[in-house]
Amino acid sequence: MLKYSLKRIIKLIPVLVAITLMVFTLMYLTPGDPALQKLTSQGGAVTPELLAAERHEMGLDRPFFVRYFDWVSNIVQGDFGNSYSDDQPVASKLLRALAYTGALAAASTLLSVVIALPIGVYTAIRKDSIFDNIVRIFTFTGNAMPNFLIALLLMFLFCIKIKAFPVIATASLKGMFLPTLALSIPMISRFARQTRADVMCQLSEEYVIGMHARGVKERIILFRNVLHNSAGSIITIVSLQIRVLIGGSVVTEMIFRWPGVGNLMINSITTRDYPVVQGAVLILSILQVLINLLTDLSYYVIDKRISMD
Amino acid sequence: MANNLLEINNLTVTYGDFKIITEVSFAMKPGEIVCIAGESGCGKSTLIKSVLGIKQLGAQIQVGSIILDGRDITHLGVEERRQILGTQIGYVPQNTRGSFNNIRSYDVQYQEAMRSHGKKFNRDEAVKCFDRLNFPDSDKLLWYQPWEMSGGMNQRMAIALAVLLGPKLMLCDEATSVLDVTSQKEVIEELAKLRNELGWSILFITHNLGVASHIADKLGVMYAGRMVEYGDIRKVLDDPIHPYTKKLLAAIPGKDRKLPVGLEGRPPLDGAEWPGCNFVPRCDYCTESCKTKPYKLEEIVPGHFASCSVGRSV
Amino acid sequence: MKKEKPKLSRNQMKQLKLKRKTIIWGVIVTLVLVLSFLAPYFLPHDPLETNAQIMRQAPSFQHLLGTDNLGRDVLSRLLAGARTSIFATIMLVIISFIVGTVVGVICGYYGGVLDDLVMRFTDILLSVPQLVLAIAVAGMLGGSLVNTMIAIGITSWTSYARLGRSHAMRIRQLPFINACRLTGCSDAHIISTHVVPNLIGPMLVNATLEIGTTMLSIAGLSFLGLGVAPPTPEWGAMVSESRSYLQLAPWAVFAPALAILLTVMLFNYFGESVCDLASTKEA
Repeated sequence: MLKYSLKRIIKLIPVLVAITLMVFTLMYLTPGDPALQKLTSQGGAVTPELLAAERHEMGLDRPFFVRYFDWVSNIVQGDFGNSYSDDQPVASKLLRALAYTGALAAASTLLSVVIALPIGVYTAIRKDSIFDNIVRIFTFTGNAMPNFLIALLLMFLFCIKIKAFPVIATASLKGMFLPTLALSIPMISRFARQTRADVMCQLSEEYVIGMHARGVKERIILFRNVLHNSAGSIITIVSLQIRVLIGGSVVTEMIFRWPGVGNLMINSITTRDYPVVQGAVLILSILQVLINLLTDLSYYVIDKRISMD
Repeated sequence: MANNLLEINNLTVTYGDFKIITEVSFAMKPGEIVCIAGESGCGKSTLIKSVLGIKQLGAQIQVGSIILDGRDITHLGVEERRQILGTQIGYVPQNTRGSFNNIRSYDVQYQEAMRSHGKKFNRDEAVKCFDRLNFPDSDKLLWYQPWEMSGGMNQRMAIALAVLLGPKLMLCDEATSVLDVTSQKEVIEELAKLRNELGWSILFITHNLGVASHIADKLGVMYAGRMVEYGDIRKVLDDPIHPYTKKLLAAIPGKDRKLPVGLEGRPPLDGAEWPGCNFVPRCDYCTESCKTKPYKLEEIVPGHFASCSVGRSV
Repeated sequence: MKKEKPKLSRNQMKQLKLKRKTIIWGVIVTLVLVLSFLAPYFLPHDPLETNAQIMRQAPSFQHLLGTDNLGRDVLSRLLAGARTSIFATIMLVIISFIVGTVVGVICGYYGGVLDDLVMRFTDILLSVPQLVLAIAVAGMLGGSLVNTMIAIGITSWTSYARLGRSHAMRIRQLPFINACRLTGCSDAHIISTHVVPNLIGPMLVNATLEIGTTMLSIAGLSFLGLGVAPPTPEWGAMVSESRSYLQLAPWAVFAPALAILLTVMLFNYFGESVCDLASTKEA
C-alpha cells in the first residue's frame, strides 16, 4: 500500500509542473499589460515613467523562465502574489474562498452519492419496473440540464414562489442548501445511471449464483459483494463528476453569490485581476489532481489486483 | 423407496419456451455417488439447476417433482429455498471463479455464508477442516482472495466451505472439467473421501466417463433431454444396453493409438420435444416403430434401466 | 444451444427497431438543424429592436413568449439565437473531431516519442477541470463566440485523440496492414484507405454523443458572460441577461434555458440511439 501510494505521488510531480507552466503561460500570453492593469485598477494618472517603474518592480521586464521560476518558488512558499484591485495577498483570499467551495463540493458529492446509490441499486434489481422507468426519465432530463437552469429554477421555486430562502445566499448553512441541491441534481442523475449499469453487470456474474447456491442472504450478496465490486467504476464516475462539479460550481456560486473560488474567479475576470484568476485556476487544478490521487488510492483498497500493474 | 435422499420424478424443465428436459426420473440413496453423463446440451446441467431452483438460473419446472429427504422442494418459496441451499444442498460449479467473489478474501465470504444460516464461524475450525483435506498452507488460506488462487484450489475451497455448512447432498456441475489432471485427481479424491467420512451423496455431472468410472456408484446417461440409461456403474460401463451408450463408450479415445469410433451427427436441438425416441437419426438399430413408440425407462436387468434395448441381442 | 435459432431473429427484430428509432431521431435532428438555419428569415419581430413601452410583458398572442427587460420579443430572439447556439456547437464538435482524430491516428499509427509526448499532454489537460480552464482562457481572451469555442476546444479534442489512437493502434497490428506494407504501400496510403475507414464509425458515434455536452459547455460560458457580445441573441447569453429580472419576467429566463435543455436532450437521444445501433451491429 505504502509503496503503491508513493509511486502514485511521485507520478504527480510532472503533472504539477506542467499545470503550473500551463497556468503561467496562459497569463503570460494574455493580452494587456499587467502593470498598466494594476495602476489603472488602483486609480490615478498613469505616466510612462510610472509604468516603467511599476513594470520593473513587478519584474515584468525579465525573461519568461526567470519569471516562471520566481512565481513557482513563491507559490511553493504560499505566496500567490497580491491582488491588483486591493493589494491584499491572493493566498488568504483563495484560502477563505476554498473553504466555501470545499464545503459546497463535499456536501453536494455526499448528498448525490447518498441519494443516487440506493436508487441505482433498486432500479438495477427491479429492472423495467414503473419506478425504473420514472427514474430513467428523470436521469435523462437531469443529464441534459444546463446547471444554470437548475440553479435558476430552484431559485425561482424556493426564493420567489415559496419564499423559503432569501434570494442572495448568505454564507451560512441555510444559504448552502440551494447551491448544494443545484449541484447535486445533475450528479444524482449520472451516479444513479452508472450505479444501475454497474450493479446489473455485477448481478450477471457467476459468483452471484454461487452465493445464492450457498444460501447467502440476498442483502449480503447485494450490499457486501455486488456493491463492493461495482465500487471501482462508481468511484471513477464520482471522480470524473468532481471535475464537472468544480466547473459547475463557478456558475452555481455566481448565481447564488456563494463566496467560493468560482465566484472569486469570475469577479476577478471581470475586473481583470490576473493574480487572483491565476491563483484560482491553479488551486482548482491542484484540487482536481489531489482528488484523482485519492481515486487511484481507493481503487487499490477495493481491488488489490491493481497493484500488479 | 422411503430412504431415498433425492427423488426426481417425471421431471420436465423448460427455459422460456424451450423444453430442455423431458420426463426424467431417478433416485439417489444416502451416501451414493451418481454421475450423469452425456454430450453438451443434453440437459445434464439443467438437471442440477432444477434441483438448486434459483430463479435467476431461468430453469422452470413444468411437470414432476423433486423430493429431498422426504420433503417436496419443487416449488419452494425464495426464503425457504435459501435456508436449505448450503445447509442441505451443496454446489460446486464448473467455472472455478463461480463460487466466490474474486476480489474479497475467503475469510469474509466464509463468514457471510455461515452467518446467513445462523451458524457461528470459527477460524480454527476452518483451518482444521483445511488440514483434514490436506490443503497446503492451511493457516494462511483464509486471508487470500480467490484471484490469487488456482482454479483447482478455488474448487477445493468451495468444497471445504460445504464441509463447514454440512449439506447431505452435493451437486457438482462439471466441477473438474476445466482443471488439469493433478487438480482433477485431488478434487475427485477429496469428494470420494468426504462421501466415506461424512456420508455425502454426490450428484456429479460430467462428460468425462473416466472421472465417472473412478468415483461413481451409479451412472445415468442423458441424451437430448432424456435419461436413456441408468444403473450401477459397472453394469452400464461393462454391458451397455441403449444404442447411444454403446456409441458413447466406443467414442472414448483409448491408449491403443487407434482413433475412437466417432459418433456421427449431432443431437437434435429440440430432442426434448420429440414424442418418440430422439436418437433415431443417429441410431444403427432403429426400426420404423422407434419413431412413434413413446419414451419409457424400463428395468431391463434388475437395477439397470434403459429406454431402449433394441441393440441388446446383437 | 437450443435457444440459438429464435434468439437470432429476436436480435434482428431489435436491430430493426433500433434502426427505425435512429432514423426517426435523425430526421428530427435534421429538421431542427434546417429550421434553426432558416429561422432568422421568419422572425415575428426584430430580435434587436428595443421598446421601452412593452418591457417585461408576459406571453400573449402578440409576443408568444413575452418580452425581455428591454422590450425585445423573446421568441424572435430565441429563433435568431438558435443558429448561433446550435451551429457553434456543431462546428466545435466537427473541428475537435477532425483535430483529435488526425492527432490520434498519427500517434497511434506511428507510436514512439511523439505519441508519448502527446499522450502525456492530454493527461495533463484532462487532469485540470475543463470548465475552469475554459473560463480562464475565455476570460483572458475576452468575450466572443470564437474565443468561447477556442476555450472549450483546447480540451475537447483530447477525447477524440485518445479514442482515435487506441483504434489506430489496434488496426495497425492487423495482419492485412502488414500485407499492405509488404506490397510497398506508403504510410499515407495505408492510413487513408485502411486505417481511417476502419475507425471512422466508432469515432462518429462518439462525436454524436459529445454534441450535448459541448452545447452545455458553450451555454455555460456564455451564461457567465464569456460568450457572444451583448445585443447578439444567443441562448446562454439570453438567460444571463434576463436573470436579474427572474422575479419580474421568468419567461425571458426560462424560454432560452428550456430551449437549451430540449436541444441537448434531442441530441442525447439521437447520440444514444446511434450508439445502441452501432453496438448491436458489432455483436
